[in-house]
Amino acid sequence: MKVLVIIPAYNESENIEKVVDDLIENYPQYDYVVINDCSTDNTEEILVKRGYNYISLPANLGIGGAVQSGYIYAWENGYDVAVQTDGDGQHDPAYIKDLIAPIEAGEADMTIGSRFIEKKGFQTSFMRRLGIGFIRVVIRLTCGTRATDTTSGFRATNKELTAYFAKEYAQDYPEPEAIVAASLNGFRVRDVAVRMREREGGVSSINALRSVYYMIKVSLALLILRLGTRKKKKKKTKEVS
Amino acid sequence: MDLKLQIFFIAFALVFLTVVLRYLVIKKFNLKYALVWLLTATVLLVLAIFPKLAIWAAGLIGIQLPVNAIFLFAILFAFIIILTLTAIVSHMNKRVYRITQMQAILEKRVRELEEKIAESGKNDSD
Repeated sequence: MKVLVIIPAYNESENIEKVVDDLIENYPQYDYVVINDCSTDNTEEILVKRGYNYISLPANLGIGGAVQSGYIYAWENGYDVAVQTDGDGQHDPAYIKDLIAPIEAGEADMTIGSRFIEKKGFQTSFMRRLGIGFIRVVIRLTCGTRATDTTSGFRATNKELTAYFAKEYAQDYPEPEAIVAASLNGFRVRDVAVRMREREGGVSSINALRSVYYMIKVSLALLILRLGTRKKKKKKTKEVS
Repeated sequence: MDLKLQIFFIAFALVFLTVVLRYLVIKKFNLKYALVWLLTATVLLVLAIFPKLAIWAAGLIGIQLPVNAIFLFAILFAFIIILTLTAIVSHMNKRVYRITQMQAILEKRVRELEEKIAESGKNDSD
């Protein structure tokens, strides 16, 4: 199994070295690629200096376009599994093996790392949890998929779904949309328990002021997605003998 | 319709049509995107020359003053044009994303190839 870890980075000069070094030293079995989303700080300088494997976007595309570049790269290079993480160090690569296990076993096409199954590690603020819970309901209503950590950017996809995301991926707040798009197109999405850390430096891409806009836009996007896609039958889970 | 108003409308439609055609000729406009403008200008011109058409259309939808019918059509055309522009911008946005991504991936390949060539050059000279 060829595994690629996609690390989108926008102005992550404070964290990126720690994140990538951890991967290189402790998890050499995974390949990785950093997607520099036209950072305005010295992220790119660090990537060059340290000789990391990276793609540098010539224009800022936002998290959706950056992650999709990773999916295109994974697909072009024949990776079996693409793992998406954040460049800010809140995702512990120790859980990557848990994320890819159901995919390797052929039981799921996509896994989403959820901090709300074990309820351990960083649980984020109350308001943030409220929002995540709201999106959980919207996702349940639009495609029937149960996903607990709906905005989690710690996820893995198999080859087929990577190819799909390389072609079609939401731009602005892609995490919930990707769950619905995958489900509606017949891919099997599964929750996997992970623990997350609080981000150590930098600023999260979603601030409090934008959260109402975020909720409305995400809900609308999910509803429109539902209207535009006729639900395909889910593939039967392979029996494990 | 008042003759002065009619002359104004005809003049306006003619200038409008000329500008659109001129932009098309010097290739500042893409015909695909300018079609809706051409249509607007032509309809405006026809209505200005034959105000009876405007009167007839106004009566059809219960508008008393034919000039109001012309205003209404102008606004409707503007809506259609803005709508098509939204569609065009969305489409272009998608393509710009794809081009940006492919450029970045290509840049990575070129960078790696250059490194490889530089390295093999070094080995040859050793």
